[in-house]
Amino acid sequence: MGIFSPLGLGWRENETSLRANRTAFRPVTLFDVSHRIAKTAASVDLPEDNVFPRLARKAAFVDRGTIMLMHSIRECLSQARLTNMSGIDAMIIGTSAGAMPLGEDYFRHAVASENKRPGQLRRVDSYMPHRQMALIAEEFDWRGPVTLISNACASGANAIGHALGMIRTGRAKRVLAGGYDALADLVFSGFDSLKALAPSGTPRPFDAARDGLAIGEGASVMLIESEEAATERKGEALAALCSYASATDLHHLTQPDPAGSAAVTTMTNACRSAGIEPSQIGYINSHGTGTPHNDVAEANAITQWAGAAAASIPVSSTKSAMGHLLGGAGAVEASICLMSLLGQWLPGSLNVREADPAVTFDLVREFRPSKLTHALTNSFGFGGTNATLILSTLEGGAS
Amino acid sequence: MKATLHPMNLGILGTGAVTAAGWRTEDFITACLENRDIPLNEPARTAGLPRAWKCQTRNVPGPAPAELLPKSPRLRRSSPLTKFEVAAAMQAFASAGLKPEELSHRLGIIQVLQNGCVQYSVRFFAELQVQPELPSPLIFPETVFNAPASHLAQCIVASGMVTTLIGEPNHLVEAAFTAQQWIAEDLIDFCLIVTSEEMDWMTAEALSYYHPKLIASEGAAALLLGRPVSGKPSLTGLSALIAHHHPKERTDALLELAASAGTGALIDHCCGIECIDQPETSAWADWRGPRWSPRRVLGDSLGASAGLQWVLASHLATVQRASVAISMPGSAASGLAVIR
Repeated sequence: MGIFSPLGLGWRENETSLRANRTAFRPVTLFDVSHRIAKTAASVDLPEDNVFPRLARKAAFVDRGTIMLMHSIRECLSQARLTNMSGIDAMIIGTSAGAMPLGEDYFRHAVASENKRPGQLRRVDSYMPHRQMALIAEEFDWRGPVTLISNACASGANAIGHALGMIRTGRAKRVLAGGYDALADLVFSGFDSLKALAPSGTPRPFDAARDGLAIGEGASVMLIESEEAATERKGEALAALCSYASATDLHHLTQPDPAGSAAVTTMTNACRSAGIEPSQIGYINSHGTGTPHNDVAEANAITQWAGAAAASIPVSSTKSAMGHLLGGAGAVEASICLMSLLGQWLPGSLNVREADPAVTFDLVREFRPSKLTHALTNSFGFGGTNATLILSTLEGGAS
Repeated sequence: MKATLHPMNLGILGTGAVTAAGWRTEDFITACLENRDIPLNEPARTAGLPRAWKCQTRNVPGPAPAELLPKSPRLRRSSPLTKFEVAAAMQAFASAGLKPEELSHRLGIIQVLQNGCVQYSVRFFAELQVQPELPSPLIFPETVFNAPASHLAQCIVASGMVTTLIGEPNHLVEAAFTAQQWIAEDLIDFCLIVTSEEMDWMTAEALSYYHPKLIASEGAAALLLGRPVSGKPSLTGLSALIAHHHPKERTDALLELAASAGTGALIDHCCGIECIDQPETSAWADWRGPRWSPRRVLGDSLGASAGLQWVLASHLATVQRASVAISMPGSAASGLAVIR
């Protein structure tokens, strides 16, 4: 697994930050936010090392999000003891905004001149996310299929779930899957225009007085392989990816059904597919954006899905620490579940002062050790895509 | 990677198309088969300085015929792209003799886009530049790639598997593999694949950077897939996309794909501009069967174009009872499909 989030570059830095209940919000400096209600986000500091050493010239055209993704891929391959992508059958990546900052750059140049401008072909070509993914493939001299999934904030979870389906149906035995998104002016301003961003600058998922989300950026990928494929290369699995379910909330383009019916469907179907009961879930990494609508819908869904068992299920939102990573969120949060299973701990839902009355579950307010076998993560996106993934310890036995 | 045609088990139960030739599938088929001329437009910029160079498009004509779109509040403010998709989808259901509401939770949707709702991104970003404190909250949600798929799902009440793939037109190949995967996983029984694109001034200008004579076009194709049914065409073979990092590799990939196509008719991706078409033209130089080029007639409808090739192939396979190969070259990968 590889992860690059506002809490740090790599597994170790992220775990250290989660253990310390650290948050990553700071003033936005990548673009002008003087006209925005919100002024902060959780941004990353890109290291100076070149993650595209083979493509030195083309690396200049790589966007910020793809660089984060590449860092994650390199960590993932290293942890899986692979020197390159040879033997990987497919790459499936989720993103919502892709290389949006390059598109913004193209627009600014286009409207500033009556004539064609030098550099525009490069800008428009680099703006398309599949061209960025082609650069990753070229850097590794890899020729497998690349699939880009864009279901807004569920994209990363969808990518991992799709990889699981590919393996289960025999289409692939080893898939690199995850998601990414970088901060972009258009996206930040868009959420701000919807009044979805927290004016306070502090997201407080499941707090009774929460005032919105904070945008973050980052990437994470996982190498998902069949048991046979792992055995074949003497690879050591970290955990089992047990199940995935997806459904569509038809209520509204941007607002969830208050009852969270699509989330009930995905959590129910994911548990059924994994052969486990809600009461066996030892941790839920919630979608938990911190907006009034999302959190109450998700809380209602958890209550309906788990029934009386909800009271004993620990739930937190790591968006309280690193913000909402949009297309990268589902992948990063699945990776946090994996870290929790391996380390037997739970990350906190930070900044909560008084829990929302809809909260019937065990809201984890700070880091704590815990014994858990199964972790569930929810991702919901604009457009109504709901996704649930369940990961388990190897001892927990995946069905 | 070698070109291998994977045997597929997908019936094409219904098709629909909205193109610059008209809102109906038959408009598109007729335009391709008769090589009709479609009028050109010159889209003016809606932001910044006026353009001083020629940049042409072929657009879907006029508003949608009322009978092609269901009544839905979602369609009131949605992008043209959404309306293209919904109209194409409704035609696909009609040609399959099925009502979407009858398929309910067993229907999946896969949307394939290259450009998406850039028209809305341009409008929103232009507003940000002009009045930074007042960008419209109504526009922003429409900028996400999966917004049209969401509207389509709501219109046909598909609450199960709905996803959006982005990439070159030939990502339709991945969509078809995904449809087969979902059916194999017993998640769905039917899958509606929609490939679509809308044109605005910025996309048209962007395309002209690749070649000044490349005409930007728009529209949507819908393919209703399911288990094979007697009397309906089937997707019988599909190559995984062959990735290429250099022009020479692309030429080799196209040659391999052409060699595995068998016999029958061919729907290629040529646009009529020699330097762009050259790798595909030389790869298929020995092809002796009839050959059609929808992109040459319509212009470049980006993400919609491969779906339109499949719609035409389905028609030809039904009418001529022949095998139809579909060539789908791309800049990063190329693919081939066979419909019979």
